[in-house]
Amino acid sequence: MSRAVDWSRVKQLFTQALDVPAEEREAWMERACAGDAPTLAELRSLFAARAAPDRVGGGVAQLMSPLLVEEEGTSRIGAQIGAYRLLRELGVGGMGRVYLAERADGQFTHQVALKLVRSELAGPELVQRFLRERDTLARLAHPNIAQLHDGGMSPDGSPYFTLEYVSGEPITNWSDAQRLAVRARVRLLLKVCDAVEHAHRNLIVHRDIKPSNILVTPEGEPKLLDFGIAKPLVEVPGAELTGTMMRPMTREFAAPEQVLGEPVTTATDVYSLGVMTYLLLSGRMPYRRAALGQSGWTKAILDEQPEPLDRAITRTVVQVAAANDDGLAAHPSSMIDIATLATARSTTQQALKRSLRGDLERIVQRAMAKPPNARYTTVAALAQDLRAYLDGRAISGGTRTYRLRKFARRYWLPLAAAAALLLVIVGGSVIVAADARKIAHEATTKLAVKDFLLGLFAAVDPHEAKGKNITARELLDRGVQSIEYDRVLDSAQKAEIDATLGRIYYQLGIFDQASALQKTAIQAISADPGQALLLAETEAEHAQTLSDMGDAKSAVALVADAMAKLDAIPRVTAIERARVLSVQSSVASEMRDFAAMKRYADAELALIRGSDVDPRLLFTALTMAGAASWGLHDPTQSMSYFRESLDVASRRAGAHELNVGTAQTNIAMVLRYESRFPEAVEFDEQALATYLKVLGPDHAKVMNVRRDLALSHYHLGEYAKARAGFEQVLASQRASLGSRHPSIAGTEINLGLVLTDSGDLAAAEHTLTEAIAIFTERFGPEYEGVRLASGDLAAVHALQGHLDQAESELLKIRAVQEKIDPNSHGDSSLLSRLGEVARLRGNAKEAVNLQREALALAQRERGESSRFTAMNHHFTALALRDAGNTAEAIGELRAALASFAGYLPNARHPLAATTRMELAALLAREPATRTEAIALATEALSIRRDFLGADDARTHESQDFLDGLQKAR
Amino acid sequence: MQGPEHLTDLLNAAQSGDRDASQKAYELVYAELKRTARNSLRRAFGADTLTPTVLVHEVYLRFNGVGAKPVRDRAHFYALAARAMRQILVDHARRRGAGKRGGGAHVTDLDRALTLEAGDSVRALELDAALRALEACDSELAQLVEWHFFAGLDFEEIAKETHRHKRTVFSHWELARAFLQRELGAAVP
Repeated sequence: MSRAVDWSRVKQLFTQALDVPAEEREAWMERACAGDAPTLAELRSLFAARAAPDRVGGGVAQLMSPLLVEEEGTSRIGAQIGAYRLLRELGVGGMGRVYLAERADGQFTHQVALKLVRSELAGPELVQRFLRERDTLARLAHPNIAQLHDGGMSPDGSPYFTLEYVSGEPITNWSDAQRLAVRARVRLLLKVCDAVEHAHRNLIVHRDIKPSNILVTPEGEPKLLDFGIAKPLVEVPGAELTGTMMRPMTREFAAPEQVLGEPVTTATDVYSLGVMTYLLLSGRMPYRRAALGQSGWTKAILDEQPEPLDRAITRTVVQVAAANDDGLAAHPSSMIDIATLATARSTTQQALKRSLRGDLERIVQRAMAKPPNARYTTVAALAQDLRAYLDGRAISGGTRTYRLRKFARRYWLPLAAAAALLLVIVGGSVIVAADARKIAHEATTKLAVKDFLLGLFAAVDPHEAKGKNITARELLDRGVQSIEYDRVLDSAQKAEIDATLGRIYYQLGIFDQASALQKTAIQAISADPGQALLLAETEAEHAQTLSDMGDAKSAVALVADAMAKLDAIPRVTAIERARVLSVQSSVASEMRDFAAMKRYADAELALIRGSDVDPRLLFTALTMAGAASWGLHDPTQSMSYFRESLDVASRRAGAHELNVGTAQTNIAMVLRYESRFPEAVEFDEQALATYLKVLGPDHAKVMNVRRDLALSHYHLGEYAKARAGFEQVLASQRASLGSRHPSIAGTEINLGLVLTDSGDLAAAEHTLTEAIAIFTERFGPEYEGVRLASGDLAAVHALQGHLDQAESELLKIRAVQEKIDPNSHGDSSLLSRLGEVARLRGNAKEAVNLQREALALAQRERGESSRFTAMNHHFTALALRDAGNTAEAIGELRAALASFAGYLPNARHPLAATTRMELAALLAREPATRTEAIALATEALSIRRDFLGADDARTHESQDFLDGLQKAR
Repeated sequence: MQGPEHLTDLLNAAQSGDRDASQKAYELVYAELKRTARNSLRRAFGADTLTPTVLVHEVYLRFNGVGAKPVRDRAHFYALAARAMRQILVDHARRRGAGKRGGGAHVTDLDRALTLEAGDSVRALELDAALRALEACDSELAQLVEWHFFAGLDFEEIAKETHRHKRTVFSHWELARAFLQRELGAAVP
């Protein structure tokens, strides 16, 4: 505007001119401004502007409301939501705002992304959808998916959740900035595929895969974000949302079926991954002719074939994608020529072209096929081909009908099962009588549990299952997550499922999870008289879990309560009662109350033996009875129960492998007691193979067998194997049970023996001391395990020359023994150790007496052929020798060798080598027996060399001994 | 909120030349507008139904509610409300523009259905500049625009508040609009 004009005159003339008809206005203004050219020009300009397309009005109202909405975002900064303080806004989505937040309580300094439902929009539908995103995320746990932390309600009642805060760049920008080569880009994509596949395994389709939803951290880990429009494959009835609430997916990455509004499946994500792959590899969007407008894209997505990658990179046309923030905005493709693309991929133009031809081209074309069923059936299949490309293997190309059939089968089952469940529930509600409804409810509960569990397995890709990538644990964890957020099942059904899952976790040896689920189930039904039986059962199962976790005391009370509840229920079946008896027996075992254990087990056997029950129940009862007999020092009866249990487990077609394994380990236990170690090893190794196959390497049972095997190896003199075995078991037990579990003390006692006999006395002392502490803490100072470990420790001290200490320890053990069982005949190893201390003190006479007593006991308890008997012969001989009775000493040493030979082929054992040397030393005194002495010393050397190694000090000692004998000759 | 009567007192004080009271009254109205806008949006479940008119009227009613001293000087109130609304718009557009340039946002999935487009913030700032040009030239016209756009008053109401003929108000509006159109580059020279 020219400042030369008089505005009040312009204002006046403008107002008047408005009243003049438009066609006469120009003439009117010329007349009115006669001679005043600037004023005329001003008026003309204003009227021209007035007639131009409106740029002022209308828009203001539209401008107003959104900005007021945005005001809220900033106003929340600094506010506290739950435990978090909002630091700044990261973005606004269709339903939520995302803030950077940190914990306000100062407990952690880490930052999270906090997503808050947009309160200004918070209608019930939006809140429901928001919660669904939360649920969706809760089902996902993957290193390449931004992890859900927690959620809650903000002070004003709107829901929120917190996520792993990903500070990163969109995958496309990052790859270019890093100048990632094509192969490295493919590797990056594989991680993305893995994340998407994880979502699919959890029956979630992402539906909005694009570069801005895949941020790469500075460490190079891609993270899949924003499940805001993700969709469960199996829709929860009643949770369907209105179409108007559906946020539009990002156009450029949308699949044809999304554009057409057709059903979305996992194939939709395959398509988007195809576009992503195309873009990341070529730096171009796939459709050459796609115009700027929405309809142009739509048409391209539906009709246009993606341009071949090697041609797309030479494209000079203006690229469309700069209009969004999908990682392209920073580099409008129109500015990037092939030379830049090649540089960003650390290669040359020609090499880039070459690498994009062939396999990669076929892979993106297949991923982006228009009909969903022509694409890769699963993301895993796409990933497989990308991997094949990296490995230089042939990519897939077989017939598709086969895959399609698999796909249909995979998703048909849960869908059909869900429909069936719905029918049953609806059907049930028609019946009026309360009893009938109760029966219907029980039926639906059983069905719901079955259906739920089936659903877990139906979601597994058979290909993948074969590759054993998926573990039962994964399946279960998935189940636990989905049950937690399930809105269809009622509380009794949930409790039943929780209890079932708890039982399975228990079976897998994952006790803490089992316990948590069982507790939840118990809480949910404890006030419901209709669920008394389920309550009693679950209590018993929880008791079992607690007992296995080492809390036997709580378990005793809980299982007693379960039995009392069961007694109060009329018409309880034998099997139901047997189950609780079984837990009682098991808990008694954990309390080391073997009499009670046997009593419960025999009561259970009386209920079920010979009746037509599940053989597994009978098996368990037999095992318990056998174990109780074992605890009561009745190996013969024990063996008879265990043999019967092995028969029961193997009898039926489709023998229950695990039970066969259990029976085998039990039999091995008795065999070890009878010093039949080679046989015991055989049984244990069969059991170990079974357990490893069925339970995996970390299961408690696997550890027990390893421990037993190590024990046998110890007895067979294979110390290195034994030590490695025990140490492996200890590490695993500490990892799964914590450091103070009694099982650990048991293992430590055994390890202590190995260490003692290997000559590592300091380590032995340390290990045994810890075992004593753990056992004392758990079972009191008078527990048999404490006495056992103390005896072993005393032996170590004796070997170290601390005779007083050893003696006082041994006497303490004897005092406890006499207090517990005044009629006891004593304990052979205790007497033998006391005798050895006496001998070392030079008190040979007393030593002879003690050793003879010990020997007699060992012969009675273990028979002539056993390690204990052999060792008692050996120590008796030493005492006799020291007492000057060489002849009898020689006799005892020969008896010791015979005893060793009775259970070890050729008496080849390091202890027996020592016996040979002692015998040789005595025989060498007489010329007549000197040849035999040299033969024995030679055998001893050979044994020590084989068992202890050529470099061991004891082997050298043996060599020197032999050399001495030969020289003397 | 500190209480509706408080605004009346502030307005009265402002009327008698208290500049501090005038500023306080402005801040009060500004805050109340934003609060009301949020509440309205929450209730309405969408932005379509929220217009500056509805908003300013609601705030006005709030200040004149039961038990509150009525705001006698309505014109003064509208002037404050319109100015506050305009300020809200401009503040926001500036922040938004700054955010765009800084490019600091990490979560980039923005469904823009309800947020201010980058283009809109530019438009808002241009409009503000054009209004300032108009103010420099003719403050009466500028206020008319403010009242109509930002306080949502129609011409009849403005005529009543400013004691002018409705026809005059309309003519002035036409002139102001033409002026702004030209400032915004719509005119073909």
